[in-house]
Amino acid sequence: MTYTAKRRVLLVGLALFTLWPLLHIYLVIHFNLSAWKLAGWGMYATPRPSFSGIAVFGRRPGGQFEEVRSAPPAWQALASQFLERQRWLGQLIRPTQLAGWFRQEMPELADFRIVVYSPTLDRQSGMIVVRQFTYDYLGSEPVR
Amino acid sequence: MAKKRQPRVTWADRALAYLDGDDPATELSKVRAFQWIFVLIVCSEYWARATPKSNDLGLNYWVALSLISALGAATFLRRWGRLAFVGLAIAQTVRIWNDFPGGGNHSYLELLLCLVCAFLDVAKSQERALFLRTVRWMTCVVFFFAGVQKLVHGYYFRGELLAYSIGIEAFKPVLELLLPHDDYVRLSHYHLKAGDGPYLVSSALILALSNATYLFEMGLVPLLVWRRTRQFAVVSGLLFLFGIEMAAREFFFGLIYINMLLLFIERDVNRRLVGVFAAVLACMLLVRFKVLPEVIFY
Repeated sequence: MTYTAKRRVLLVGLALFTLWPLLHIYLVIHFNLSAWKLAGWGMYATPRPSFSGIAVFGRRPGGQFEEVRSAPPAWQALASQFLERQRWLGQLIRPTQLAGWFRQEMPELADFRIVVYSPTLDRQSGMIVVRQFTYDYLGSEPVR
Repeated sequence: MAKKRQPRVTWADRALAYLDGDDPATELSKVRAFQWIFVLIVCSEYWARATPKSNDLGLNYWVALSLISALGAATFLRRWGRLAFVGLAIAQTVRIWNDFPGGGNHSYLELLLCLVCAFLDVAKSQERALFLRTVRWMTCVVFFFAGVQKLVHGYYFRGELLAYSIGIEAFKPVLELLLPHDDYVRLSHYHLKAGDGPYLVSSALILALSNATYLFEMGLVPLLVWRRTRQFAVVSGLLFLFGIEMAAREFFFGLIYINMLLLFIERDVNRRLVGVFAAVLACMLLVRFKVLPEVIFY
């Protein structure tokens, strides 16, 4: 490869390297992506995300949402995996695999609601508050 | 005889040219020293992560370690050096893939530096100049956006992030020194649980330090670019990093970053520091292998 070509490749690379943190900041603000990861250089810019909790609610046709309390170990492993990824990727990922699992294992339930509880430091008050993210998987819609 | 065509000088080249400023006699030795130190850090990190406590290589670690060590050694050879950097870049990619999305930011920096080392032949003066410009630009970007992120997310204005950091074991000794006693006692009682807080501090010193952090990170960049202030910027950048690492203990990131900062110095000062880096890394490995007393670092 000639020097000119190499220079061109590097200039494009450096432009991307310079612009990526701006997009990263946008994703942190709008999609709750963690500032700590993915080369946005925001380590220690926000509190390091702590571990979140998760709850699943199911609804029979015509009924109310009720929490599904008896989750087998296989599901818990899936949930932990999801929470670890969600901790860093925020709303860029959805618990689709979990919903799919429930739809397969509990066909008697028509709708599912997965709620993720995420403790976070509130900037205004300086208190730890719990943010709640809700994902609905309704009816016979394909799980996406 | 046909005249060799010179590449067109663009505005990007002119902008990057502000980062020039090297002693031609020691330029090559400076770049080589940078690469040696960099490889020592990358390889040591793989070893440090292979201890029983932190084995998260995602591969059978003996195979991985042998391979990484062989690649690291090969980067020191003129003939195979760039190819070995390709190998290290592949290893880094596998590591990032296995850890995704939890891998640290320095893993990405290491990957990119491996690629730059593989891509450019630093024995050629034109490519060496491009190498220096590239690494220096990357250093400026990392410093600048570290500050911008702190400013944008707003956890430094009232010292919230520093107060919250009391939940991180490595920060405690430094915060005990800096915080007023009452604040330290109050914050120590929180466990980062819902309802805990307020994570605010009353000390003017802490507020000043907190706000100075992002101002320094952003403000350092023009000082690094301007040649008259570059030496001063390198020294203050190093002191700043030492200060940060006293609390954060992100030693691998810190060492990579110190190595990048040293590249801004006109002469090959870093060559004289290769041994120091090697000694520090050896101590870190001995700590991980429990030969030396435990010190928290990441």
